[in-house]
Amino acid sequence: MKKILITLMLMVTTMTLVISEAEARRMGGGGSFGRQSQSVTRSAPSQSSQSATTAPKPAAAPNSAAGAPAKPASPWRGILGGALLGLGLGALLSHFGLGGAMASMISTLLMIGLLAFAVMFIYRMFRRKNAPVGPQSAYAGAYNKDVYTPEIGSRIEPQSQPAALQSQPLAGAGAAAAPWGVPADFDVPAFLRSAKTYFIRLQAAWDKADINDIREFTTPEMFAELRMQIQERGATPNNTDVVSIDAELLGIETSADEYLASVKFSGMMSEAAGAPAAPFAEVWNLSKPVSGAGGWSLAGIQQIS
Amino acid sequence: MTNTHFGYQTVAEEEKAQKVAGVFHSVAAKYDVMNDVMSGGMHRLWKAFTIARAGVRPGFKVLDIAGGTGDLARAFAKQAGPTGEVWLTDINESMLRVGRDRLLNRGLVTPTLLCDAEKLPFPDDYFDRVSVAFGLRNMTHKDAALAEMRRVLKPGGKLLVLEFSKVWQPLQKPYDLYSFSVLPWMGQKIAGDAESYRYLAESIRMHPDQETLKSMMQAAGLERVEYFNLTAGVAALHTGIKL
Repeated sequence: MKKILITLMLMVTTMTLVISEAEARRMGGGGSFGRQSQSVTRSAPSQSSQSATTAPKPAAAPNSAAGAPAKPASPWRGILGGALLGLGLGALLSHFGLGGAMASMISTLLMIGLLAFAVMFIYRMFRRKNAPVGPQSAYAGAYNKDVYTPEIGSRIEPQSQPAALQSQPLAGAGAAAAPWGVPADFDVPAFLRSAKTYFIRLQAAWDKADINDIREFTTPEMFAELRMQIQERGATPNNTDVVSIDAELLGIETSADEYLASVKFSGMMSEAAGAPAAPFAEVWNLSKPVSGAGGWSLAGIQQIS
Repeated sequence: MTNTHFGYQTVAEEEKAQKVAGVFHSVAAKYDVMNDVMSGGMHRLWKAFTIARAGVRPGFKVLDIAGGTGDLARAFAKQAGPTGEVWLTDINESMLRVGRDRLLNRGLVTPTLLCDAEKLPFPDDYFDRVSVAFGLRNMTHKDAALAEMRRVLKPGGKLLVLEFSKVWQPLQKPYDLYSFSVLPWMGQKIAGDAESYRYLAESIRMHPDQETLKSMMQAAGLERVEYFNLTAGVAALHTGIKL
């Protein structure tokens, strides 16, 4: 009896251990450590509100990199649905080994349906585009009102948001008297592209426990911390898969001897083999010495909450 | 000076590449939207079929020529996994830029290379799969390009050519109407560029039909060449194996 009890207790404790460990498997385990940027925390309220709006719609995230407001994607839903159906059918056909003739016949049928849909879609699109310009009868005006109201509303919303975001860090910078912002001549797209590459590469290195690769892209303090975490992890396999990623340069802090750039990564990531992708968002603080040839290296990971 | 065709026009060989580049610089940003609208989303079906026929397995080395916005490379990179190697290449910088950024946003870091398919910078017998989707049409020397693709394939490797082709005879008339009237008009409305889409329609007509392309692939030294008509021959997937 006692033996059974002990084994049961052991099982329960190990299970809870496993569960708590499986929570976040990405690099750094979803915690905050290393260099932390005061400016990021100060503008945290606006950050969290923004991440709340972007998180449920990861598909729109990559487009927002250029600063363009995300448009409501509803008209595309049909076309995407059709495309998904096509993808599924294509996979299915090849899976069952149905080659040329059969695939051609089915795809011809699909073509007719899809073409009809596309024609309807274009017709509707141009009708809407032309509607407010030309003179309209009374009932047409009423119809347009119905169609337009939600679209106008949803366009204003994201446009006003970046303005609020921009004003917030500026106000914070004034209070702290620390330069926080992005220099006008800074090549933001190229920087963010490399940042994304580093992020993906470091996640892969983290999975493989590739110490050398991690050392190359981290500051010595950060590397020590990460190596400790890898040692704690032991031999358990780690599988992360970045499904989508978006990066945003929050600002660059300049101190006497180094620059500290805060990049907010967000997107979808699966953190265990076969696990569904879940939204993530965290800030990576990258440092670079003011003088000398040193490049950007990861100095800290900061959670935004 | 030798001449070649650019759509229905005849141009000097040296000019064709430049003209094609002009077309794609002009449409790069709206390329995917236009593809969806023009083909009613069907290009996704064709690509899905190509991906399925490619049968990429983990560890494969794959070359995507004229990869443009990276649709095929993305699927291949997922299938080939971390041990595989998927190269996204295109001759057009604007298109390649879009493709590179898109792969990156999907968490895929793959080598991206600006190169000419007629002079591939790879060693012989290197790739398990070589794919070219909607790119062969725009190449000036198709036979030279096919020979290059065969050269970089490993023995037993497979070449996949997805391209517009000759449509089924009864559909010829409506298809002509669509591609010479509707297509440039839509190009004008959506991408603000009717000329590029007129070139698209014309270049499709000038492209060799299924049987001709098959014999061209055989002439390039590929074996077991077969083709699959997609959507009644609007597009066709040709596959061939290097033995």
